[in-house]
Amino acid sequence: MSNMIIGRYVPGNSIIHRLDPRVKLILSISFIVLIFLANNWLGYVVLGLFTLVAVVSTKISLAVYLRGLKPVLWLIIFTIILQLFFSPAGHVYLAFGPFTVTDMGIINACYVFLRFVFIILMSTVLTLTTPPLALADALEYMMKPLLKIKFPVYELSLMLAIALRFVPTLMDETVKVMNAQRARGVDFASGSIIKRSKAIVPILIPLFVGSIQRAIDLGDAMEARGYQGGENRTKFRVLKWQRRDTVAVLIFVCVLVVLIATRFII
Amino acid sequence: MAIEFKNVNYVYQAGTPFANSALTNLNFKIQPNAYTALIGHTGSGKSTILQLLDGLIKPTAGQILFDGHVIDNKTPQKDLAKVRQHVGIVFQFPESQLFEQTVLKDVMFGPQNFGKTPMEAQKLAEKALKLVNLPAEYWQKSPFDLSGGQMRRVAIAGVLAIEPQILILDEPTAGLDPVGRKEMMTMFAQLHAKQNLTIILVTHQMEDVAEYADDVLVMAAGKLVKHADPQTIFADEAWLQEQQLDVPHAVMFRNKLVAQGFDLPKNIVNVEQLAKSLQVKLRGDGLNE
Ligand SMILES: Nc1ncnc2c1ncn2[C@@H]1O[C@H](COP(=O)(O)OP(=O)(O)OP(=O)(O)O)[C@@H](O)[C@H]1O
Ligand SMILES: [Mg+2]
Repeated sequence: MSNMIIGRYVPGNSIIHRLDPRVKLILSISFIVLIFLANNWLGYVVLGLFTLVAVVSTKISLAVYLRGLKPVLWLIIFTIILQLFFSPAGHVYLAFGPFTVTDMGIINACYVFLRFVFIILMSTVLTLTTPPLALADALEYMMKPLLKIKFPVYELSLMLAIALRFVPTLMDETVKVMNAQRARGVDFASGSIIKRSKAIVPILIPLFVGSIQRAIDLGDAMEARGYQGGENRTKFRVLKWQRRDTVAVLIFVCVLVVLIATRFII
Repeated sequence: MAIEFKNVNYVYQAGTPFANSALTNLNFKIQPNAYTALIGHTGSGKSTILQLLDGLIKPTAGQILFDGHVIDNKTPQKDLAKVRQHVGIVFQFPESQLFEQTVLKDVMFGPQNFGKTPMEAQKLAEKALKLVNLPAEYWQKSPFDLSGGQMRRVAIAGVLAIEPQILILDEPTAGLDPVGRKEMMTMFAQLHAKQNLTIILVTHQMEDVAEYADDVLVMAAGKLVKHADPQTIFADEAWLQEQQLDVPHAVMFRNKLVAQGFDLPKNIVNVEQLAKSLQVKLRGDGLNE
């Protein structure tokens, strides 16, 4: 559990940390679109520089980001291999049976690799610098137009916020229950698949019982304090647009323009 | 079983930005058949020590010796499992480990995992349930239909049923009523006396330390700051308060009497000793008149 870097907030005070979560969310999503604008090496250089600047300005050690890449390493390698062997066009270097390695294939593989890395790094920037609850607030804000079609925006975002709030609790609880059962002789590390999957029952049941109990308690507590969601409820964390947010958007637009320009230069 | 900690360090989530050093350079020895109390302010590292003692986590640096058997950062998981067979641990709020359909089955879970047949496991379970004083009418019920105190008893029975040589207790009586509390603590004391169990007790109840322990480890911010018998520990009230701890009521009472000019021996830590020395004192004074 301690290896899960993606999705974990690292407290800090960098410029990226202080950006409005709505800006970060929107820009991170737009970045994925941005990536597909690059169609030559110059475009990828621009994207790489942009990503690097974002990563460095979070003031979080590079090792943390590299560890974030590790879990998806196999996915990346698999895609690269597909690209490498199944690109039919271009000058052929190697051929055995249906597999051919061409110059186009190699270049495409490189691009795919870079796309993966950029997207993962950028989403890691988002999750490392934004508390989950702030992200939930940002989502709620962005979903507000859906209120017009009677979509339960407030309820959904409350559910999301509660779920996010209890993720760490549930992780702690899992470790605790696992420890208690290991102390009673359960071995999660060895034995056949059947034996190991049986060992999950003594963990899942206490977790379910605990979660249901917590949900009941939380519901009671909210009701006792007269909780009412919806339109007129004021917020504890008020999202405020600052000048740095405008600057961030402007920088992003500049990168966009430069990227489009690279398509014509080469 | 003798246990020895040699320069033990533990860091939570080592090598991540969340790294958190919980224990630094621990050195101590626990004699076989000792009743050791582990005390210290919240977050001082007590629960972390207990997890090390049960082989649930490995020291980041240093060694732990169980009767000469070494556990360090390189020890494979298999060897840790062997340690667990001899160590029973009752966690803080252990009722969250219950999962079986009936109380009896839940208590049999431990012994069966450690290789006992269902018949043997049932015998052990019944014995343990009697020890924790849970009436037989509850044995076939679902553990989730019991009261909090009864669930606690079932969970403790589940640990006792594996017949450990070392019993580790992390605030076992937190949240129990006074009678249940007394009953539990007496039961542990009897196990300690009759079955030569080594007991390690984490508690915030100084009365329990004074009453039952013969050895005390005081932790503060991940370091062992004092290791002595209860008499020595409770002799220095000011120092204990610095550690955010307190002396038992009997010691408080004695200190107040001494401040008023009474002459009482220094080694009083529990009510019984206090009553005895008061009796001697009052009788002696009475004879002088
Ligand atoms: N899973 C964990 N991950 C990171 N840090 C932890 C973890 N568990 C405990 N810690 C930290 O290690 C330190 C020691 O914690 P520990 O649980 O051993 O304290 P304790 O003495 O048992 O406290 P209490 O009296 O409240 O039970 C604390 O600073 C705590 O924040
Ligand atoms: Mg603790």
